Amino acid sequence: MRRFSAVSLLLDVVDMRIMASQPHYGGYTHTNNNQERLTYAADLQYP
Amino acid sequence: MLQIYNTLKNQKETFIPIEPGKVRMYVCGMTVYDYCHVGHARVLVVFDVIARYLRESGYELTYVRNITDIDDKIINRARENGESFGALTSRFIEAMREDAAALGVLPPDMEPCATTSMAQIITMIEALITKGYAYAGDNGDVYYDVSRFETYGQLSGKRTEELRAGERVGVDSAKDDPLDFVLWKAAKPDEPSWASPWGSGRPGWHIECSAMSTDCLGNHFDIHGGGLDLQFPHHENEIAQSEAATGCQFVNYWIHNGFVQINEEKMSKSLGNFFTLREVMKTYAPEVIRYFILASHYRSPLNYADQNLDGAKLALERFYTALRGVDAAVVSDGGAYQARFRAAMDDDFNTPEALAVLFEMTTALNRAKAEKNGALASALAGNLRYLGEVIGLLQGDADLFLKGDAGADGVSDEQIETLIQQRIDAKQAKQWGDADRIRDELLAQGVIVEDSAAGSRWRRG
Repeated sequence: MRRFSAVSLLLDVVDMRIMASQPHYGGYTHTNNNQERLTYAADLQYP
Repeated sequence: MLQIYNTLKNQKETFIPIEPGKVRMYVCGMTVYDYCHVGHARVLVVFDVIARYLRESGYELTYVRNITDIDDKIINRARENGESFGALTSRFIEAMREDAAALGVLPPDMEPCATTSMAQIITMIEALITKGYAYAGDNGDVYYDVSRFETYGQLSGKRTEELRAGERVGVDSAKDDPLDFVLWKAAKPDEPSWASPWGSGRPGWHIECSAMSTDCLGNHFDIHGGGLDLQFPHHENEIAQSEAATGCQFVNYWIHNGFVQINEEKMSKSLGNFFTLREVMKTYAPEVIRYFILASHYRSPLNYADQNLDGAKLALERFYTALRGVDAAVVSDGGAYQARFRAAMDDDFNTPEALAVLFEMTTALNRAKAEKNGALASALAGNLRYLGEVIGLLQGDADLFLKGDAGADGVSDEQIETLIQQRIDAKQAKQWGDADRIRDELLAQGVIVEDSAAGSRWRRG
């Protein structure tokens, strides 16, 4: 059962580290510019 | 030390509560006219984790999440349905609480509703009028005078002159300035209304949260949260109202969770890619949805796609497979794993990094089980459950989770147990061909049989 092997758990760790390094608004690699964030917010149409 | 990304300052800051050891937090809750969607689920889960972690860190937390139970959408939906607005909102408040509970979201300490906070709302509007920050229009509405609040735009970074030039702000002849926003709406025929010094009417959306939050938590409190879509204008207007009315700073830390996208596209009714939580829960267990939400940092976009939900299910299966059959009653100090888990959570609630630590623990747990080191396995399982609880995961029965639900067309638990017993009987009679056939039959129906020294166990794959 490959997916329950130690290798797959190691891949889960890597996946989570990748998720943790994904662009966040306001930090890391993503925009820290409020105007850009809000333009995106205004385009969303949550009912 | 806990670091929080404060959208008021656009930077991570060390969290220092106003009152040592105590935290007061307000989060904008649902407008209850429909079932919760995936975007609502993210708000519920993200702030539940923040609340859990603040308590785990030793703070005495007062968590308030309001309910908006009167607004245009509610009135319109009740009218479409031919029912009273109260009947509509009661039904969806109950549904929201059921959905939140299914996701493992703990109830907030206080859950004020707009309709039961009218006295506080009217008092705040009166204060704003008295201080010259609000005025009654000639149409009976009461407006907030944005030009009077010098620091308007501090949260969103918007400047009033740019807003004035923008097309998004509609011009209303009763307003002195197109930027002014409504605090009290005069009653219209056949709409619910409440008595006020300005005649019958109902509150605007923004003033509800200012009044409810300050009523529950005081004029100045620690954390205000909500979705990023609320940062402007809702939260900007809340600051303007509250600080003008009370004369003091409203909130120290503003926390906004990112958006939910569907297959990399924005989620919207017009695109038809809109899912209620109840629809998603027909396919995926609530804990899978919770894991999926927490596998992204709360400030990252969350991309809803079936493959991501499937991945979340597999990840939880790996945790529960490791936990299955291990006594998790022992919780030691957790050593380095707990320290790293806390370091991740202290870094602006970095749940994916915290989950990475839990996966490392799971690897160690599997190794301990393989080496038949029961004491170590038990200690690791105990700590895994303990840290899982901090983010509201891994509290279920491992066997039940792995067996899953049969689904509409699937083979039932009873049918599986019968086939498993037949396979055991075949093996005891040394009818290996029959035993293999039964195993393959089960596998074809998505049921995986695992043999061990302790006997045969099964799970739905």
